[in-house]
Amino acid sequence: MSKGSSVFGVSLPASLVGYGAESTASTQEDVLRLFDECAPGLRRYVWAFGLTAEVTEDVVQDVFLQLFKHLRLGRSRANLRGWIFRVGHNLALKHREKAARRHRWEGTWDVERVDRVIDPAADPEQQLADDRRVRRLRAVVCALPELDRQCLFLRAEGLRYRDIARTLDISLGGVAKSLARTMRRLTNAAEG
Amino acid sequence: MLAMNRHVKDRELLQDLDGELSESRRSAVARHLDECEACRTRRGAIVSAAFKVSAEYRATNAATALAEHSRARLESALERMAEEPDRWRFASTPAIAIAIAAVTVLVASATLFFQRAADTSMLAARHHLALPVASITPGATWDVSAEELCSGTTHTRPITTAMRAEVLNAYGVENLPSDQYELDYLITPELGGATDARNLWPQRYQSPTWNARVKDELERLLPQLVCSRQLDLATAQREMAVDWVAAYKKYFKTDLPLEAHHGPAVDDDESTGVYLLADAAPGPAVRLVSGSRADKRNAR
Repeated sequence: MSKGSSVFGVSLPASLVGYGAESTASTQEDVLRLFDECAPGLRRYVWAFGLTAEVTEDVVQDVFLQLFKHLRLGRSRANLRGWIFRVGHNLALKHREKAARRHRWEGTWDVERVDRVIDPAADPEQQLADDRRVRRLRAVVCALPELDRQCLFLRAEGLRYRDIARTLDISLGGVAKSLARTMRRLTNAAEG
Repeated sequence: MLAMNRHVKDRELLQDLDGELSESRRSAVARHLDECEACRTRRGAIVSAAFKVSAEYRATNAATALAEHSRARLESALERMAEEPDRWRFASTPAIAIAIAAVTVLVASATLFFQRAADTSMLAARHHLALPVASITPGATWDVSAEELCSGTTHTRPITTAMRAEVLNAYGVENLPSDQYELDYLITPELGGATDARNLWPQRYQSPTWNARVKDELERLLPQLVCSRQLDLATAQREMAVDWVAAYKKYFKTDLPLEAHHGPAVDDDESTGVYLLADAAPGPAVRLVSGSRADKRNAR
């Protein structure tokens, strides 16, 4: 049953606001569904800015609260995953800038926070070789210009090139070039 | 069609892998790969590197203890937002509801206007919020030395929801959309500014001249001057608290904000300004800034 509502202290009958109340409830559900779907990837991406766990979590929360407002305003529901990463990217940048000013520090991707992804079933020799390869890849990723690293991470999150371009405010061709440049470095490192 | 003597570029191989090529290019690349072992080998290397690096990145352990409660925290925040009577709900309600709301808003606005017009401090608050109201925001600092601050020690605490509400309520701007202002420190934490309601005010992004972005530049400069011993901390704190616009003019030697200090416009979708926590641990002792405009007013 739809509830009544109060606007600037004046109660409105439920019949007048029923649509709004239902819409709000369903918007909440939509936001939570998107949270379940996108929050792990968004958290990972935001954390890769070198932010603390607390700030990362605040950014994640804020993105979905912004999303709630966005949807309640009746704005576009097209490609909300791209929207989520774009807003998360901007908020993370803003936080990092503030943190850098306060602590004279610039955060970056912390490889120590990456779990090992080496196949445990492989024999020790193979594991060692894999380990070396992974270290080389990590070294390449750490040494990448930030824009290239962000392109790479957004691609790893499954974003299309057009969404990456919008998030990073670069051209579609810029995304393709950045990724190709990175892949060349990575393949060279893997071969080396 | 790709000529056989022209290999496929890495860029196109990757675009092909990512499904980013047009249908016609995809077919041409596929035909070329059928015939060209060198390109197939390169493609294999790219696939392998792309897979490994994606797996590495996705193994980032970002799931902290905070993340475990993340959904519950969001649910609770959404509940609170849903209960708030606000402007967006009416974007989707029937026309009659909008009409009732419009009349209500007019009456409420008129009442508010006449109440506040009598209060000069509120008039100041409505003047684009470029400067804080001294009686509400006199400025407050932690009891810290310049050496501590310059060594990177700060006592910044999260701004609590209660603190935020207190400040917004004092300025009478509870309903101002959060994307239009930054709940800013009058004395920046880099100068020892305290996380205290007396040191916070809602500064408008869209103030025409002296806005939050211009103040940010002063907040960058003064700590540098303090740490390079060109300015003592107490003076910097006092000048920020008394009149940051005057301080900007003095230190940047200009009567208007420098061109480079005008930031980009704020996208209302993508800016919030402040992150709020329900609770925050208390910081060290807080002191009010002597010589602030509030002191001067009280002395008169």
